[in-house]
Amino acid sequence: MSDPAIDIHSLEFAWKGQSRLLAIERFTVARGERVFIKGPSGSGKSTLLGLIGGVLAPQSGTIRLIGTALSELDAGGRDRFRGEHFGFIFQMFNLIPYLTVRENVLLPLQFSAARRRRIAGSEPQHEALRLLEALGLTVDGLLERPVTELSIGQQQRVAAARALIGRPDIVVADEPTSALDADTRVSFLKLLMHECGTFGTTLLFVSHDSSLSAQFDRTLSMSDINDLRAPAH
Amino acid sequence: MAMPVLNLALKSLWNRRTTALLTISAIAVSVALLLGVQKLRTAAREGFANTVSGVDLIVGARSGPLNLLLYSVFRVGDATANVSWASYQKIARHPDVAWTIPISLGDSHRGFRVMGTDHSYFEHYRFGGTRELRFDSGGPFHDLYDAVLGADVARTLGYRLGDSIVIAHGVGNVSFAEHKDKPFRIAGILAPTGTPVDRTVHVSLEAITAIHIDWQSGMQAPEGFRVSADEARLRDLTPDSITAFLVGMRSRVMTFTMQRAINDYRQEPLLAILPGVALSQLWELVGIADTALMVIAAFVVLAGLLGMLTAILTSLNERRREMAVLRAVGARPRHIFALLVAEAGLLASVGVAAGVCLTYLLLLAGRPLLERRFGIFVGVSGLSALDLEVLGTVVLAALLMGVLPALRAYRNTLSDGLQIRV
Repeated sequence: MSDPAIDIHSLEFAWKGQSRLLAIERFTVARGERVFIKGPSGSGKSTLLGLIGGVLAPQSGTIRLIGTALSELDAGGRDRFRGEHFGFIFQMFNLIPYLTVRENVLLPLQFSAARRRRIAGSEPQHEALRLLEALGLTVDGLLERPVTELSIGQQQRVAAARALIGRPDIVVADEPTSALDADTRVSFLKLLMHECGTFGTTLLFVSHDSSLSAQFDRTLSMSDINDLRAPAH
Repeated sequence: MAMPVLNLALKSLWNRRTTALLTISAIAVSVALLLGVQKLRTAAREGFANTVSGVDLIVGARSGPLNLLLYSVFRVGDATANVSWASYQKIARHPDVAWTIPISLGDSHRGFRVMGTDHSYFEHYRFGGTRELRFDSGGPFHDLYDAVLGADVARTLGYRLGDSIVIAHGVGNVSFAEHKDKPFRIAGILAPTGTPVDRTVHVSLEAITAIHIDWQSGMQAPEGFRVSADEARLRDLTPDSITAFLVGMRSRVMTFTMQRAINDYRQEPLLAILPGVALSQLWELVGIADTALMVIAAFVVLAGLLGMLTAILTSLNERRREMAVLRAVGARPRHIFALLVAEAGLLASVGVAAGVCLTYLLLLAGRPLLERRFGIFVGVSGLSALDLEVLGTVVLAALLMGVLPALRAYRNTLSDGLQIRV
């Protein structure tokens, strides 16, 4: 348990044909730590998440996640690693519109045997229901509902349950609350934090709304992480 | 990992069921057309090969085999010369010959050929394997001026039993010289056969002699020298010659010997042909048309598949975020690739299955009509190996086409990553 959840070293990244966007000398997140990252759009937040998620590869430097260097994995290995250890919550449109709530929540289990194993103790749908309830979503016949019938707030909770199912090591939330109203935002965050806390899940929470930062172990801004000045555009 | 992808493809298609249903319908209709053409083509080819069956030899004056086949069986074209009655009698009485059907052509009725023959025609003529000529109403000719109509003739011209018809001299559609003085009574109407029999007016050989008794070099004798219908009955109506005749041998084994004997016949230049051989030669000529039909049907299927391709491609942009979500939960680009190929495969498979059902429904519904109107007998049999091969090719083509949107989605997912571009 000594390896940090995220350990980035001497990283440099530029989009093809563009000047450098990110230069990170060192960025670490301990296991179970809940980190708030704030920064305006265009500051490289999404790119950083893409790098950590393993869908982008840096030009130089290393990214070690819970002891595994991403550069040592091939593209398929990184996909498998992401499916096994990560949960993602996006700003909106998190759900597959043609699947029910249950199918959406259980989706990560379809692609990762490790996450299936981690909930082996109970039926997957019981676990799904438990997570949804823990996140404050109690609706009759919830599991079999088409997700398109849910409100945005409810959809974000379903997305959070999907990110958390099968106990991933790291949950990455990219502006998950920006589409929610103030009350829902606070309660959503509280429940998410609580659920992460229960299993010691590392939480990387990205938002431009610094009013939420108080509840986190640590707050960073993109300019703290990125050694480059924010690009002009 | 195959199951989740297939499952996703199914649900995603169900989510877009209106488009999917239309795509499937297009494929189903095109596949039904293809299968239908194929089935009809097989049936038509068999029907053609069986236009005349059970006949061992066709004999006529010496000309080309195709020419002889065309005028004796298909009533197309004309004989260049006739067979003398004496030669016909000699061959007909040969001990190895079981029966003969004489054919005397040259006249017509409103565009349909008139054929003189005798009762052996109704007794021995076979088509479509072992099918005999059947009467829808009436029976064979008994009186000198009785006629038996093929099914098409009666249907097209609206004739009933007992109606009176006049035969025209020559085979033109509009003939000014008619055998008006010797009208015929319709004694029988044959059931459809799907062969040229349907388009033939049958009378006795004696009737052919009778209506020409006072004709010379294509002209009727002037008034006063004519022979009335009743006077003709008293004359000797044995013909001088006939156009051709069909031969049934007592034993098949003797066919070739007889053919050679007829072809070497000294007294008269004759030609004997094997109908099967001549029919397949003729099919090689006619068959081009049905190959063309098949090619057209194949293009219609291609159009159906292109419709599917369009439907999938247009859906791709609005589905980019769906792909990004799948990537985020651990789907690999090849899963995205497989998802889209699976969608194409599913659409085509369901379309093909629906097309097969549609074909059989149409065949079952259309069979009586095909049989009555065209005499085409389409067996509602299972799918032939060739059918399965064709259907397999359609699905395979769809999968190959699916590669195009799949590749595009694959590239999109690689460049989009986890970013959701709306």
